[in-house]
Amino acid sequence: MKKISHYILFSILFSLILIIGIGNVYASQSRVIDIRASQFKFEPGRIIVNQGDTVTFKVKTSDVTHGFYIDGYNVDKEVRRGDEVTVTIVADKVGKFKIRCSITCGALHPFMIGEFIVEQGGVNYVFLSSAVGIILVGVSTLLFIWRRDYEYQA
Amino acid sequence: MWGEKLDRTELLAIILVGAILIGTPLVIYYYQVNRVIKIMNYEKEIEIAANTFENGNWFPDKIVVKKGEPIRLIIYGSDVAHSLTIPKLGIDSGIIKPGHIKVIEFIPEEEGIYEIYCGIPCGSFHSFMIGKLIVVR
Amino acid sequence: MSIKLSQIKGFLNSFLLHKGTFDLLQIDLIKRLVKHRAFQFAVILPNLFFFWLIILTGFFGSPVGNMNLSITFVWMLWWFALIALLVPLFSRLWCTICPIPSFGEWMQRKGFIRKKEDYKPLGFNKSWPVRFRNIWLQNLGFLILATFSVLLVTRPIVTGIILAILIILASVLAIFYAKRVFCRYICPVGGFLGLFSMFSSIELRVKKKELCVHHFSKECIKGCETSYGCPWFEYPGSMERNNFCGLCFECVKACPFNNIALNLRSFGKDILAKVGRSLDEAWKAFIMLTLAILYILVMQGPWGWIRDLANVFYSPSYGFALNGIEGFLLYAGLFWGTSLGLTPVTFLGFSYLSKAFSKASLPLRRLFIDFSYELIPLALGAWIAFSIPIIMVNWSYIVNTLSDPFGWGWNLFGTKEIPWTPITPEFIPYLQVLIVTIGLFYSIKLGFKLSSQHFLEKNLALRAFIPQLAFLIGTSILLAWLFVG
Ligand code: SF4
Ligand SMILES: [Cu+2]
Ligand SMILES: [Cu+2]
Repeated sequence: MKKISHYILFSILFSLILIIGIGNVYASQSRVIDIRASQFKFEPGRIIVNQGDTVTFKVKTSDVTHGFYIDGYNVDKEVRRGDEVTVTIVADKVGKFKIRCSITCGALHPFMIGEFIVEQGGVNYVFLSSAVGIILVGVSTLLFIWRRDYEYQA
Repeated sequence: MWGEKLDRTELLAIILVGAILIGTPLVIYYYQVNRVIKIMNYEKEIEIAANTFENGNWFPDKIVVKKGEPIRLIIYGSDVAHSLTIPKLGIDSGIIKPGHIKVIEFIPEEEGIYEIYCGIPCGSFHSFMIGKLIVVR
Repeated sequence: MSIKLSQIKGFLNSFLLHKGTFDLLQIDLIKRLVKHRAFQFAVILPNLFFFWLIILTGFFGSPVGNMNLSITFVWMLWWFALIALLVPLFSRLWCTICPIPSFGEWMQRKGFIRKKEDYKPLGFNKSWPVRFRNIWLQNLGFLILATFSVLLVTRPIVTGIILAILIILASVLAIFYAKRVFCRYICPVGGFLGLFSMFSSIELRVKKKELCVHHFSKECIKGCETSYGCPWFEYPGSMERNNFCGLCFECVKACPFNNIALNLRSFGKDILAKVGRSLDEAWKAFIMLTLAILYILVMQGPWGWIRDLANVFYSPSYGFALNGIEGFLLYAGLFWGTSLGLTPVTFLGFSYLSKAFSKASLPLRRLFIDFSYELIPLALGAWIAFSIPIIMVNWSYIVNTLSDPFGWGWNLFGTKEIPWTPITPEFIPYLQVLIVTIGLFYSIKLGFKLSSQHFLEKNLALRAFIPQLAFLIGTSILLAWLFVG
């Protein structure tokens, strides 16, 4: 039993170091990203930047009027055909944020989704730590139950 | 006694099921027809829904009004964003997002047939989205 | 009220701590309710109204999905409530209130509520062919619907047509075959309800099995003056799994000894039940797991081109037309290939490793089938994770269409213009990862116990389970990548 708790403790510490570790040593930069909205997609669909970057989105639509909404970043703009809508944000929050269309634009409107991913120094720590967490939970669940059954048997 | 009572609940059940199956469409029909009558009549308040051409175009796509009488157009955006423009009369509602309503008021001064267009590109059939405003004496 | 302190304690113990079971029928109100002959009719009735409304809006309402009640009620509200609440907590309670088979059932019974003493079912009352007494037809039906799901969940008319077809099919089958053949062997919803209800925290079981064995008249199967025999072809006395219990409560009404209990219990108990494990259910598990991943990819992913493939009747440049068939075939091939082929074959590989690691003399087929049941909690977790944004992001469409079911510009309750406001959408990915991890936890816990059923030696059980652990963790990480990666 003791061994297992040591193991768990060690892994948690290890992953914490991994998570806090390297981030934020890269210089932030400004980026301009052209986005084209159409029924029912944003192109490019995945936008990856680093924390601290100043990101300018230039959004155009090629068919009907769409919305440009980013989860958690308080962006909600209306994009009509012919206009180019410019939004500038500082990518201060880390993680994956969905870009959504906020104006009904036809049948598949609720699925019109893109992704805005903010990494730290080129590494997606949110995903990394999730994966480590999943492995930890998995292995420790198994060990815990195996151990309990084992003791029960003995 | 017992059998009789059971049959009464059965009767109630069949009435309830029947009421749902027949009543629901009737109530809906009645409610909608009442609204449409208001639209079709020569009334001063006119409702019009903006649909893309694929989804059924302006509804109704013909409006008849009387010359010189002030009218109120209540425009309902129903699928994607549109606007209502009547260039010959210099009318432009501005953007109407789906699910939203815009109201415009004007007085048609001259008899004739005026085309109603949509001013916001709304897909491949945007240019087919045409309705008619008929001003009669 | 006649609730005793011991009852409250039992309830809390089983509900919060998962210690033992608690019979909900001890609560007088619940017992009286489900024993009442009019109970099922009364709960179906309001639901019937909504079904009818959904079919009407589907056929006559706005063609734009999120402005039409049929889409928002079925694919947002119902779907979320079903997969995230009803199934995990209340087993097949949906089937208690489902109006789809009720027309057929009312016809067979020649009545809505009553039970005549000299009851003879109407219709041909045939028995279902033996070779179809499995859930392969349900698997097939579900896959077919899933292939067209992008149309189904966005085009009101398709939803309306499918619902109408299901009702008609159920009624026609009820004319020819006895009881709820449709529910048990055909209904595409019933298939996954059965599978996932194994995980649920509620079960209908007999209290004392010995009593059933020695009780020869078996009213729960045959019926009695006050109740019908089980319409689901089940015998409560030997029931160990929730899969085919539609919670109609006829047996509760029938049993002269009050031997039926509705237990609160620990999650996933049925997964360890040794009866009924079969290849059709294993495949159901593969299908559900695969489709959850594919749906997240297609409907919530950033890859618009996949949506274009799936959206067969619409092309942006030509409007509504039947083109892009090749693209759709590709998409359908992807669906069928992965859920019927790729996932099972991969899983077979891992099962083979399990066999090799433990040097078991068991047939590979046995290990493959039994281990497949460990996928149920993870698959359920994936489906719940998939369904969360539907409510948290798009809830406003539901209240909008409540006021304007047809998208005709009505405003019945003044909720028509409530703006689209997602609730804390930035936290959704974390919630999704959390839920998948909970699913993983149960999958591992139950999976290891499945392993222990075959290997009495715990170390062997552990060895046999290690490849399974790799598969489960791998799948979870894939899901996590879709959410946060
Ligand atoms: S099996 Fe299907 S049709 Fe039957 S009650 Fe359940 S959901 Fe309804
Ligand atoms: Cu859009
Ligand atoms: Cu338009």
